[in-house]
Amino acid sequence: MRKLTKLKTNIDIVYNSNIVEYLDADYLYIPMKKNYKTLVKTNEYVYKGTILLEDNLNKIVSPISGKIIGMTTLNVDGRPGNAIVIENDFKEEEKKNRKYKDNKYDRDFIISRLYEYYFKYVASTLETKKINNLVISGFDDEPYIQNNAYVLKKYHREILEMADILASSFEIKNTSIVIKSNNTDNIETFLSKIGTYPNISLRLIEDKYLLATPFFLLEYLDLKDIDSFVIDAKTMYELYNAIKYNKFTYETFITIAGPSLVKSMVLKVKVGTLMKDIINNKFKINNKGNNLFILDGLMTGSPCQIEKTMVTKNTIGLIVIPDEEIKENSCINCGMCYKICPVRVNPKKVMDTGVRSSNCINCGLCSYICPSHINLRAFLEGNHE
Amino acid sequence: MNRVYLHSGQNEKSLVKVILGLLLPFMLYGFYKNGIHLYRKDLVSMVMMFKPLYLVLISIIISIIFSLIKKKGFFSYILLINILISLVVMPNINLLVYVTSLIILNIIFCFLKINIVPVFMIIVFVYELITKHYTFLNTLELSVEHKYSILDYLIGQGPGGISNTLWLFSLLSLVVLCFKYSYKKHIPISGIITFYILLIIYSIITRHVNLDLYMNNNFLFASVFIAPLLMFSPYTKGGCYLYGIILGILSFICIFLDLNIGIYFVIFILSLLHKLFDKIFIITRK
Repeated sequence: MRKLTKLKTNIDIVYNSNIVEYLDADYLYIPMKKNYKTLVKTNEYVYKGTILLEDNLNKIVSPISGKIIGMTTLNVDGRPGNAIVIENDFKEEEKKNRKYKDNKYDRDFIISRLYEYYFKYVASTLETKKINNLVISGFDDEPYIQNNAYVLKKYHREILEMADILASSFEIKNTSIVIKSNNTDNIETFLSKIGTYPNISLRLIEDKYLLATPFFLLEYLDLKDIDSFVIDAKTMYELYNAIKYNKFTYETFITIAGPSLVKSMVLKVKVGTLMKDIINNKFKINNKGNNLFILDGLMTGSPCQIEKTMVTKNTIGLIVIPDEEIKENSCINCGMCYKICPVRVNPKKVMDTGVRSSNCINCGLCSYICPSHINLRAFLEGNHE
Repeated sequence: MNRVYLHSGQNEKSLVKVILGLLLPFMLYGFYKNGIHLYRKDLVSMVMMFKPLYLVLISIIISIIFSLIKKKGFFSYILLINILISLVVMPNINLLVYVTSLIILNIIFCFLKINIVPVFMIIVFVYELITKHYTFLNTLELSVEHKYSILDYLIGQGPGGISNTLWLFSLLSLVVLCFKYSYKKHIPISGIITFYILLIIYSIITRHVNLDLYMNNNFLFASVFIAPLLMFSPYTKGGCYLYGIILGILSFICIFLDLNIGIYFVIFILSLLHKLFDKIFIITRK
């Protein structure tokens, strides 16, 4: 088994104990996607759930009801892109109210429901693979990002129920909830609740980087990819809403944290909310100097302008740190980047030759360990200045 | 701007500090063995009693000057290399030769990244050969016939550089450094094992155990501190093993030419070829 690294995270961050909701932004921004057909026009009124964009397989719906006021250019998952702007009327009007029915959760029903709600990956995996081990991960890889841990804590009943439904519908032999051993809150919660579900077990793992990546987690748990499936707590909660309540998830969970904030939080926000709106409405910045906003974590994220960055389904959070310039020194040939790489890429060779490696998983460990502070990740991505 | 937002805290300063911490007992013992002890025996003057410390001090001053020129911090590799030089030189080193050589080599190091520790030793070795002063023995060791027990060697009474004779502490340093993530432990481990295996075979064949060979201070100190210097050694695991094995073999051969200086010749040649060792293993792994 490969040796994984425990990251040194020595900044003390105070988190709000519960998930904070911010669901009433004035404007929402829905990113335009390549090859998607736009189904709405400027000044058109849209209901919550109205299809805004679609291609052959996917549809993107409006998370709020309101008026389309035009288009703007924003940062979409780290890259510039166009977005549809919707002015919120705060009525949350839905065109078609789906009625909740107590369904019989059999295999075919679940798969069709998952396809209907665009959980294509989960649906196709459950459809094509004989799953013997279902692993629910209740943690995130990125330091200071706490989405899954908080979702697991708040929605443990829903997640356990969903796990039980999947286990019985797909005849899954082993279902386990995986929690980091330093997350005492969740351990206590699950130890008291899990007894109701004898087919679900609790597994504790070390606090090591990359264990939230299914490949590394399965290897760590000594499970085979061929009959195992890893789902994070956040997705389990969304599956629960789709399958049990026939409900589309318009919200997502993000962590906004950092030493520059008075209090850090895990938030439930609508997809399409502008980061600036969240920061202005929910946070107090205590650092008087310049701050740097890192989208999607310190290890793999990139700096962003909060005025131009919105929350998408893929957003995991924003880390706010003081903007301090660190000087890059010349390589001292220590080889630590090569030694730490979990997929045995040779970052020094990439830096020396410029030939990129296709095996790189962009985990950022090489940059993290480098004693010369060289941004090796940028070399591996091919965009070092 | 550098885009590394989370860092392990490892940097040149922290790596150098660990090694310098381990070198401190060597400096103090060198001062005792080649300073205080000789002064007590009336073999050196009061001023020359501090020679081991002068050497360290000179190396620190030169390091500061060159660190300032190169805009580096105090705890840089320049400091480590210069301090290593001040510990491994012959006890009878001429101070003027020491200062001159050190300055010239530091200038060279600014432009050419070569391991200047063995280069320094080779230069001084050649100088002492020419002036017929070459020896690794101090004044006391030269004045009396010496025969040491294993314990004497272990506690640092054996011959060697001016401040590198703590044989047991070299070994302990290796154990400590093996737990450091940045240390290229495979080099000294494979080098020392290879060297001693060959030495044991040699002893079995000749039916003679020469303690001077087994307890060679220069070999052990150089294997632990100089051969694995990050900048001048391979970084792949395979490259490090190969480097260490060749280091052990060549050092064994060299002890028959010269017991003390051989290791420095070997390290110098291998450090020039260190990229080659990595290349072999990177190509092999493809």
